[in-house]
Formats: sequence, C-alpha cells, structure tokens
Amino acid sequence: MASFSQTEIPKVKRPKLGFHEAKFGVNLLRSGRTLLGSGKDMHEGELALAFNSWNYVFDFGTEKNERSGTYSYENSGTYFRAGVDRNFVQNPAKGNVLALGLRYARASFDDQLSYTLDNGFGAQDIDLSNTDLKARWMELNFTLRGKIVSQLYTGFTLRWKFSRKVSGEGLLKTFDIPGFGNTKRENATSFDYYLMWRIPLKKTE
Amino acid sequence: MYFCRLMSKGLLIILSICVLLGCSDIDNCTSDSNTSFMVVRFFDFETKESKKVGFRVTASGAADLFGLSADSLAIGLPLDPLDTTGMFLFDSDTNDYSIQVRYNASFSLFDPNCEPSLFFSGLDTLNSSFDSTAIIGIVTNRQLTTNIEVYF
Repeated sequence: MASFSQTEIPKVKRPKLGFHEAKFGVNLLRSGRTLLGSGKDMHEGELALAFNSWNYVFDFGTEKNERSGTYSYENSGTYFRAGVDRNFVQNPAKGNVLALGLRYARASFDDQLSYTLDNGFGAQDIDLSNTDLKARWMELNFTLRGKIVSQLYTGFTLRWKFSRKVSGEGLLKTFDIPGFGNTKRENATSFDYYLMWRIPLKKTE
Repeated sequence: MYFCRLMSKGLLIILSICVLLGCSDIDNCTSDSNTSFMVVRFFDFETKESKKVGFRVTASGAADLFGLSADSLAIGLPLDPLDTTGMFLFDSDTNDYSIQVRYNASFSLFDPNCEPSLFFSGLDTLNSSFDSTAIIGIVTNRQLTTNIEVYF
C-alpha cells in the first residue's frame, strides 16, 4: 500500500480581540492649511474603534472656503463620515493599520456669490446665496497607521469619493462641498494625514 | 521598522495614483462650455432652408441694439439673468417680428481663476410673431449651434 506524506500548511488564525482599542486624532493637513492661510479654515477629527480586524471609523469636520478675484465666493459648513475598514495587518492588537474601507459621508453647508455682471443689460449686481445645502457621497479609503512612540500613532488615508449628490441649490450651483472638495468633477480624491492617540480597551499582550 | 515598511509601500501607491490623477486636472477659462446667450437661427418657412437676413434686434431692457448684416444666418442674443423671460424685437426694412422666451439662469464657478460662469436652461418660447418656431436646445452651451429655429 502506497503511503503519501502530506505537508499541512498551518492556517494562521487571527486572534479574537473584540473591541480592543480606540484611537482619536486630528487631520494635520487640514489644520495645517488653515494655519498657512490661503482663504481656508478647516479642521477635522477622527475616532476609530477597533473590533478584531475591523475598524469602525467616524470623522467630523468643519470647513470654510473664501475665494475672490473679480468676484467673491464663500462656502462654509460641516460634514461627517462613518464607515468601516478591514485591517490587513497580522496582529491588529499592536495598533498598526493597513486597511481598505468604505465610508458614507454627508455635509450641511451654505454658500454665496457676489459680483458685477454686464451681459448686455448694463452693470448688474449679482448677489446669490444658498442657505441650506446638503450633500452626500461615498468613499473608498486606503488607510495606513503606524506607531511613533508610546500610544502616539500617525498615518494617512487616501480617499476616492464617488456617488455625489447635492440638494438645495437655487440659481447658484455650489463649487465647494465641505469634506468632499470642489464640484468640477463628479468624483474626487484626497489625501489626509492624521496624528492619533491610542487608548487600549483590553490587555492584549 | 514595521511602520517604515508600511509607509514606504503606501507612499509608493499614493504617489503613483496622484501622478495619474494630477495629469487630468488642467483647465483654463476658455474650456468652459457654458454661454450666457442663446442662438436664434433663421429659416425660410416655405423651403425650410437656411435663410440669410438683415435685422436690427432689440432686447427689452437691454442698452444695446444688435445689428445683423444682410447675410446673417443666426444671431446670439444675451438673456437677462435677473429675469426669467425676455422679449426680442426683430426689425427689418420690410417686416417686424418679435419673440418672447422664458428661461432659468444658473451661476457657477467653472474655475476659481475665471469669471463666474453663467448659463441658461429650460429655454422655451412664450410668444412669437414668426410663422413658426422650434426649440432645438434648451440649454445655452458652446456645443449647441442652435437654441431656437425661427421660420418666416
């Protein structure tokens, strides 16, 4: 009787950690752009809860854009994103993150445009505003977080934003959407860099 | 070390994507396809052929008179963005015609470095003394060569 030797490849089991950590932090790029000026005032915070290899992520931000030239355009409002990331690192208990995720985002904002136009009817002062604009979109995110020291972590998130919808526009079509970017294209991308503090919820090591 | 490896792999992916996306983000003001006027094109009522005409055109409320040379086939007429209707009078040596249109104005920023963009949509005729009219394009856009055909 022939006998075959069989080499079994051990299956790597991910540890069941439950809710093992919370991280909260700020978006350094957005706050940095505010400090550097350029007519933008934007801040964003993030809270991430880790459950086994899944991260539940919530972002909240404020954004104000002022644009001017031969016109004056202002846009300000708030936004949030909520979603989940699948963390692909071998041991999520260490707090590092290499993840792909999905977000649902909404923004509430207003905008206004002022300028003088001559379209053959003499000089006309155009003052338009939208006071109750809403927008929603989806995001596909690629996230990386790594430990710097102690419980301090840093890393970036690359976002591809799609399925955008804006409601509440009047004569003025909005240009900026807080948290999304501008409306020149249907979809948008962004790069956000975070500094985060980790709070272990379980002793995992 | 682990973090550095993660970062270097991630940054490579990010940079590649940014290069690809950045290449498609070049715009200038002339590529804005919106226009702030409608195009009226003239046709012979009997033959349905294009018709060369000479008109003096007056828009109600407009400061300017729009003159058309005798061999014009079409005219671009501005619309008042602070109104939703406009009346145009076409005056020739032999006949006078008029047409009243309705529309919705829209303003947007095409690019922050350009003038705000103005265009009109929902274009329709309310009244006309031409023999016949036809709405060809309800939006004022460079890609449309005609908004309204008038037959007389």
